[in-house]
Amino acid sequence: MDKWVQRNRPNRLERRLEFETYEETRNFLDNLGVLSESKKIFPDISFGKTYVNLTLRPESEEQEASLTDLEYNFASEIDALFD
Amino acid sequence: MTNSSTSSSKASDQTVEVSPVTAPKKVSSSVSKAKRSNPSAAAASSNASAKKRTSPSTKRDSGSGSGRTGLSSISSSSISQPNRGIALGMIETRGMVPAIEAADAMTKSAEVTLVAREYVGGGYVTVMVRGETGAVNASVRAGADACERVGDGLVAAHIIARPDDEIEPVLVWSGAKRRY
Repeated sequence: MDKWVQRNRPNRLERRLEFETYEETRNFLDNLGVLSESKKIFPDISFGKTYVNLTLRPESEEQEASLTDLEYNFASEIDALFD
Repeated sequence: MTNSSTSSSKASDQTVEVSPVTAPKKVSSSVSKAKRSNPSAAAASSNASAKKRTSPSTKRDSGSGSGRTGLSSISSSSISQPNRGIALGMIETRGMVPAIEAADAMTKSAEVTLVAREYVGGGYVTVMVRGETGAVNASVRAGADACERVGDGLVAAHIIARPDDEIEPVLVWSGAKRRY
């Protein structure tokens, strides 16, 4: 979790992951897709050949919604995918 | 005489009314002025001028669009049909060939709608899809895979699970024509 950066306005968690090859990037994205489908949590994803940027936003669509345990736990699970 | 026959043959291929031969200069200048003052109006008028001027690309678009949702039908599909699902997926490529490959792979891999193809300058092309979040995720991954193997490949891919309503006007195909 320490690799995630918490930002405000709006509240969100951000993390950048780097990979050696596109193959590794794609494998991670595939695993992340499976995890997202199982948890029904879909972060914003931005990726290139060797990087992935993830943004976790609160489930609530209110502007000042706070992050919940749901998002923090999901972030930990993403860390487990990468590590 | 030649000009009128040329314009009539062009008119038969067009979906909008075209002006006489002398008019294009005025139309283009009004389009360029309109682009500077009113981008949304310019999008509609530039779409009309693009159809009037670029009949070869129109024909090519028609050919590529046959049989499935092709780039030629983006304007009608994005305008007439509501987006199925709210998630947004975008892929930017260097060149047209990987963009077409990405768009093809995205629409084949999941239930998504191709809503825009933009020439963003410098040879870069961006294609956008909308759909349910899981479908958009899968389709963007598939599109990135496909265009990565073609030409200069993938520049960037981005998925927004819940785009804000304020950006909806931006997600409509501008109709900008190819930059030579």
